[in-house]
Amino acid sequence: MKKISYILRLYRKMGRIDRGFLPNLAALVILDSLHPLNGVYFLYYIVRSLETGLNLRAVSLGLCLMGGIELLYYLAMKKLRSVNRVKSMNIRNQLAMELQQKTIRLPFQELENPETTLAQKKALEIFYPTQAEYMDFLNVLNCVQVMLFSVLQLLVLSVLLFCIHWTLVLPLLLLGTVSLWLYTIAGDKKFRVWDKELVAIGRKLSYFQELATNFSYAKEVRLYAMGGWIVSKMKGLTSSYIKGIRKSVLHFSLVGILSSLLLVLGTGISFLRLGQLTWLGVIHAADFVSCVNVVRTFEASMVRAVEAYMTIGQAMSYLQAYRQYMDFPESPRVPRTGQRLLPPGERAQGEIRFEHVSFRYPGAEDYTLKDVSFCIKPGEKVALVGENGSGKTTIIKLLLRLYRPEEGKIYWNGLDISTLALSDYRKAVTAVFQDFKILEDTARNNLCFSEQQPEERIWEVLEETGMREKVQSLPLGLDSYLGKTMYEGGQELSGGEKQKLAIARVLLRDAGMVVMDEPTAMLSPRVEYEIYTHFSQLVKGRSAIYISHRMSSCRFCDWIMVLSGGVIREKGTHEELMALDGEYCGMYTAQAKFYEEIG
Amino acid sequence: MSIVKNMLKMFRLIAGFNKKYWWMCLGYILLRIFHPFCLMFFIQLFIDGVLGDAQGSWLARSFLFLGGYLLGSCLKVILENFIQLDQKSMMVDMSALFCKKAAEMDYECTENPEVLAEMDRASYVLIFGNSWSAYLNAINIALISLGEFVFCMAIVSSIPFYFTAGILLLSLGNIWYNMSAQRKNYKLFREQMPLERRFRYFNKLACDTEYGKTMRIFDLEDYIRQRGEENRREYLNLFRHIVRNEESRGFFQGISGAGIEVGIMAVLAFQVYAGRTTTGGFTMILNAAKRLSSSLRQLFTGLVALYRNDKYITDFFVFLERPSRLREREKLLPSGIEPPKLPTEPGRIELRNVSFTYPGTEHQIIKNVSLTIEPGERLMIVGENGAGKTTLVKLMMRLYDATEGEILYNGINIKDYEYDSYMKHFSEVFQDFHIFDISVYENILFGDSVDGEKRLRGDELLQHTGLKERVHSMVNRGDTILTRRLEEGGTNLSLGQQQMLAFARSVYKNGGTIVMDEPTASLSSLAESRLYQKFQELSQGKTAIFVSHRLSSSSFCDRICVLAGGQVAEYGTHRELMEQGGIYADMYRLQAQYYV
Repeated sequence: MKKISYILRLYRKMGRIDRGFLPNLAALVILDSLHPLNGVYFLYYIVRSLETGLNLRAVSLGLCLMGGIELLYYLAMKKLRSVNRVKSMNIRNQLAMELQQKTIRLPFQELENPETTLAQKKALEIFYPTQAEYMDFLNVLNCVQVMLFSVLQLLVLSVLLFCIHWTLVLPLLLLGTVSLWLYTIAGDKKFRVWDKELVAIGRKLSYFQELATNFSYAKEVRLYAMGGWIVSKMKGLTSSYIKGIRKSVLHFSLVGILSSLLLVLGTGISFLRLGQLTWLGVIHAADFVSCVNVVRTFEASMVRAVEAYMTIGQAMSYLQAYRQYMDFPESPRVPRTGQRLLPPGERAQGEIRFEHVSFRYPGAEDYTLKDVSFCIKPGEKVALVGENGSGKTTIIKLLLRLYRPEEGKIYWNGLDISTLALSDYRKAVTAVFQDFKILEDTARNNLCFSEQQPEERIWEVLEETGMREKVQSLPLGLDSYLGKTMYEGGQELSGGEKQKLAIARVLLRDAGMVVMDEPTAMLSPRVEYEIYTHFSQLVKGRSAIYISHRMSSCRFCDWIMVLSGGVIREKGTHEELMALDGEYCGMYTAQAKFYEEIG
Repeated sequence: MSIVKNMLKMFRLIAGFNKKYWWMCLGYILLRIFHPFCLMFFIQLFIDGVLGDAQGSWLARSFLFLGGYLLGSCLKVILENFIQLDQKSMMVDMSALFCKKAAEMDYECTENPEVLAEMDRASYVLIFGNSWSAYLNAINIALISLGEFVFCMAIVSSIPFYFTAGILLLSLGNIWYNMSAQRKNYKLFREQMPLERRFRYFNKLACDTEYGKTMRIFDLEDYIRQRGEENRREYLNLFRHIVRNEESRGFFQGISGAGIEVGIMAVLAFQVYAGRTTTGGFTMILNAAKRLSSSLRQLFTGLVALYRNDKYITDFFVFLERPSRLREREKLLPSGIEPPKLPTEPGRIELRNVSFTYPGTEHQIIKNVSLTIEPGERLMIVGENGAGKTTLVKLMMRLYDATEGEILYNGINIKDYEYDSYMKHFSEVFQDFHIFDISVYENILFGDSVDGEKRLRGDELLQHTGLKERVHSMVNRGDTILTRRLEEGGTNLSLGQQQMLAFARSVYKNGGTIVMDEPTASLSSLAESRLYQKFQELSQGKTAIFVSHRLSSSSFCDRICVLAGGQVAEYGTHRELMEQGGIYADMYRLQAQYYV
């Protein structure tokens, strides 16, 4: 079956991640399955001795032996179990990390694909189960272990019973199997109720939980006095369906009852058979007594094995989602054969050319960009303006290779960018977006990430963006943590300070092309002015694309591109475009009029 | 002991949600206690009967017990399932209680790392879906084990007392030994939580689409891997500690366990030998004695689970019972007297010598600010980043209470108003506004239920903000769920469009005072101009407070207040301040020079 082969593959992989895991597991399982034999044998031994005449010395020796074995078993299990726990956790964390790495390597386009995000969410539930436990990875491992040792135990005990008398095993196996089959049916029904309905509702509930507990929403939640609304939404979601669920619960309970009945029947018949055999003198009293215990252990093992099996079955769809997700094609960083590298020299200066580029988002009917062509020479600073939704950000995303154009090509220094090694290219073209992110990490790491940069260079750029003083004033300077939730003593920067840091980050990268998307939105007029006037200095010899709604930024750029409805409408310097009296002129005057009215 | 106190609190809380639950549990507990003994009595009778040690109608009697066992098994299934159902539905009630508190507690708590940590620990009971039912089940299991234990004691009473006493002592010793391990574990667990949080954070960085661009543009695969590795190693080390701590008491437990097993067998064998018990009795007492130590162990596990969760339950109740300073005065009023509600019409806002220091810091953000805003006036607040503009506005909106001085609304101290009505008085658009994962209409109506009439109003507002076309081009038009978190087929608006939506929301709220904090930061010049125009239209007669770096908005504001270092540096009309030639004039010229 597919499921079994998948589980086998998973375990082989786990064995590779942590060498000792499989042997440890094997030892654990074998020991656990053989353990009851100790008790059974010595019970038999005692009853036999009582029957045939008590030899105190032999019995006490026997009991000491039994005690010794128990002790050894216990100690060994403790050790094996704790090793298993640590290794399982280790493996789980490694697998989680692999998922993270996979996500980063996925092409950006995939992140916006609902199929991918759904698979990802499902796969993540293995590590961070939100509403139930059965899909938890560690729980699944536990269940596999339980199932293995239970099945082994059953085997051992069946052999034992068979040796005593061949008819003993039959009723148990027959009725037991039917009973357990019913049990799985009940279990499946139960699972469907607990899972599909409850977990889906749970996800919606977690949305409201997020609203209440994620404090980036704190202001809105208070200003709209949303406490009561959240609660009523939550209760409303659940009360409506709990009634329906009750019926289902009754149904699978009835099936469960039938299953219990059959199992007890099977066990009862075995007992009776045992009694009959003893009565007829076919087996000893000692066998009788110990077999009674064996039958009970047998029953318990059957139930345990099936329960574990069911849990694994339920978790399968999540495990498979994980596998499916990990199999998604990625955009490789390491250059594939035929991909050209871009040495530092070629990154620092470059010409960007868009040729007849058209693009529409996956699943969209309309084109966001239509036949866009332009050329930015090395060192040129271009302003990109247009209404919200006109396609400005899309051009940037194509430039950064987050998406691929549907038609047309993009060139860097005459080379088709899709043929260049991705990680090199991303060192040549970089951007600071409107929704930039400052991570919860040190200032240094936020600026350089994993690259090494000389100290003077870092301070130089901080000085240029006006952040030198602030960073110096932090308790640990560059090594202070930013953000309050992850680390103790983290510093919270203001919106403007974060923006300046984001700009510094980009300037440190020595890229030939820098894109700035609304970089001064949160900055005060003076600071904005500083950045504008020193823009040429900041950016030095690099090319730059500057997107801003503040038309004032167009004044210090070399030329301007006006985008509207995915098409380039106007191109030229500020003077040229004002003379055109077209879209640019309209946008410019719309803003300027507020100043002129007063000025 | 706090465990008992917490259990009582929990008991009362649950009885409040669902009266039947405790009755069902009682039934279940009694069932579980007597159920296994039915089987044991059956086996004893049966064995004795077969071996010839029983009298009379032993077969019939034994089948009676078997029948009882059968019945018990059936009842067990039903009760278990319905108890589970109730637990799951009550978790929602628990969660709702928790969320209400989180949503209503003082704003300053939401920035207090201590409170955040407390919430984290309290939510452990809820967020990890099974902790709550594990806690409740632990209560049941503890009581069941206790009952079993008593029953077993009764059965094994035929064994010489000193022996049973020995078993008891050993088992109790084990329990005590392990409790202290648990205490140490809690400390370790608290250390683990920040590591766990960090692990989740890296997971978020890697997997959340929000960070997708950043991860790719800066090629952060290596970075995440490095940081993730460090974190993982630290986490694993700590985990090893925890596991080692739990398993370290192994030897003593092993010896006592083995000793008990062997001892029981020995004593019983002797009993049978001396003719004091039958073979059937021997198996019965053997099983009972084994059950004795296993029920003690289960009792211990249940108590450990209770103990472990007790800390979080305590955190949970501490969190729930956290006093709200902002709503304090309301609570102190004698019953029957209602706090005044804020009228919807604009009123006069007065700040008198207001100073403010963020709780837990030394730095005074606002220093002795005095200001008056007349009803219907439009005030613009400007200043450098960090000058205190947003803080001042938050004080006026009573998200915080001033540390010194007072704020009056229509002459009454704002602390005396009913808190919720005060909150509802303000219409606001913040710099870090949020669009929520609900439909477009719901984002505008926000808390009001959507019906036909409200949809029309929603469309009206969409028209005003220029979003109607875009929204009506979406799959479900105004009912489209925004972003894809909850349902498939959702859509995203651009940042600028989202800002306009937030503006529509504030217009719908129709508060007497409007607060805008950088409302046009993401808008194109045309959209900005449209917003300014709409704002002027729709805010006729209302008080407005405008915080912005774009000084162009001063063209429709009555007065301007310049904040510097937490103090009012300049105050007046645009003309007055331009003539003054100070900070404002400077700022204005810097910005305007590109346009004129």
